[in-house]
Amino acid sequence: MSATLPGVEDTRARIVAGTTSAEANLRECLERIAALNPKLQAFHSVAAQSSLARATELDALLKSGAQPGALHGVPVALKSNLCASGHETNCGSRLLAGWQAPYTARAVERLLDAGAILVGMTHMDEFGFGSSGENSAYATARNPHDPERTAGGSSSGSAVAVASGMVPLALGSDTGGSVRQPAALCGIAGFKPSYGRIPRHGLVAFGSSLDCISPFARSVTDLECAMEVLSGHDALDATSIEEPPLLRIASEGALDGWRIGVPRECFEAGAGSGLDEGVRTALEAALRCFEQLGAQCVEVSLPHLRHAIATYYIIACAEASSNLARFDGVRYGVRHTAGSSLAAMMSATRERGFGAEVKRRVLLGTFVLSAGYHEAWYQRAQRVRARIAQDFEQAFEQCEVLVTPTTPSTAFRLGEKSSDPLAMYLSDVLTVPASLAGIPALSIDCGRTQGLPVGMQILGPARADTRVLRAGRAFERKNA
Amino acid sequence: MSAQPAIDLIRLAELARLSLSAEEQAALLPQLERILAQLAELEAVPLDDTPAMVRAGAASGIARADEPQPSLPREALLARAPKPEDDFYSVPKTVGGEG
Repeated sequence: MSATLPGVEDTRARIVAGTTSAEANLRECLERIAALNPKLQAFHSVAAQSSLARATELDALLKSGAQPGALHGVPVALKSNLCASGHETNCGSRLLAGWQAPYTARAVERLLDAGAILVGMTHMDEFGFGSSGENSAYATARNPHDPERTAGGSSSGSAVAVASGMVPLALGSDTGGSVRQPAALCGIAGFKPSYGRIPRHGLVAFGSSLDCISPFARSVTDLECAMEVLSGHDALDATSIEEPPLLRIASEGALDGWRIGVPRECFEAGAGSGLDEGVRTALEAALRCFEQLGAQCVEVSLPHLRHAIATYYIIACAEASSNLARFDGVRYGVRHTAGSSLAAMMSATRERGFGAEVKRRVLLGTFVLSAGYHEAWYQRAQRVRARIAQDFEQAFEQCEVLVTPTTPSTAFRLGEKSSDPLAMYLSDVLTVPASLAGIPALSIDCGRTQGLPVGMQILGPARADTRVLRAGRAFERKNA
Repeated sequence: MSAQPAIDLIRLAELARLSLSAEEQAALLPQLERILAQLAELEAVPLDDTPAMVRAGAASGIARADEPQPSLPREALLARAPKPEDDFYSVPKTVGGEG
């Protein structure tokens, strides 16, 4: 679908070489958005005027002999939980309708400083709570491979914008798989780096011990371009890793001597993952491809993996209920009044501003944090989380990277799981473990089953982001 | 933790600052009970003396130097609030009554 569309590297190279201009390239993107967005619902707002002004400015800079940035002229889209001055950061919620950020997120600043052009803000599940895009208060982004199916979530619009060729690069946020899962379902690449690799200053918080700003692109090479710009320490984020930006490592693509760990629990029938046969077949072919690249596949075990969903939903809901306490009709967004007291105003604002899934998760989080339950639920989940992280550490003693499916199935039909929250939560079974452990995880396209994309997930030890990207790039080149 | 935890939804909604309608309460209660029953499976995980993991291990958690920096302009923040009044966020009364 998108193989012929220029990616990040190509776009910059063509503009710098003078084959096209930033303005002409952007106009092509805007035309594509105008043609596709009414059907696919990737963007909720498109900044045509300001992006064109920026493109003109970049063309003038290049003409003046200035050194072009690493993303010179590259159009980008942002998930609408990222702050960008003058753009609407509504988090997919009615409560923040029309709210414009007074400042720009550090990651977005880095993109702009490198010459990227901000095209617009994308649809998402409200506050990041969802795996299908259907929990947006505004519109449900649709899968470009089949618009009757989900694009995944919660970073649905950003995934669709890249998969349909509207833009070559977009940012999402990944708390439990919200970039990897839509990347897999839409047939593109999405990378959740190590926790703390990309600073979170300017990202509206969901689960603070889990949230990672994460890029989407149509190739691993393009993700590497983005990571060079996005990564690196930031003093405004106390959880930011104190390391310099990631640099791409040139390599010939072979993986001689590498051991690819295959966690048996991810492939077992009845392990809670409900793995589709078509997904299994595509993954088995991908593992053979790694062997052709010189790697050896070794079976490993992640014994606590089956507890990851329960652990994740307790921790993520607890953190979300705390983070969302700030949306109370005082400082942000919309206020609804009821009665005459402060408490009544706050309750009315939240009742009318939040959608059903947000209320469900805020209530779950409030429950597990409440007096008498905190130790039995929240602290216990934190201890199981430690066990899950230990499982990964032990597995990485036997291999360089792990390979799993990103999702148990391909894109499901819209409406299929929307009335059953538990079924929706279970679709995250293969992505939440890496979030809990804080390790880097890449999802790339590894084939088709019944015409729909299958995503493969490559995971590495904490801070081994470059290793994960290198494995993904080797696979991608072999399959180009 | 219990496989069938008791939920006082009215109290919970009060703590969460949500004024749920009767219809919402009727729909939410069985959903929450079902979800919590599923999440309660952690009760059976043997943990010995495993300590809690409060954040991903790779995080630095190092605070920046304690030096004053300029903050966001007050007027920019007030302009984005639902009901600013002069230099303040205006709210309903906070003392007396149900507040």
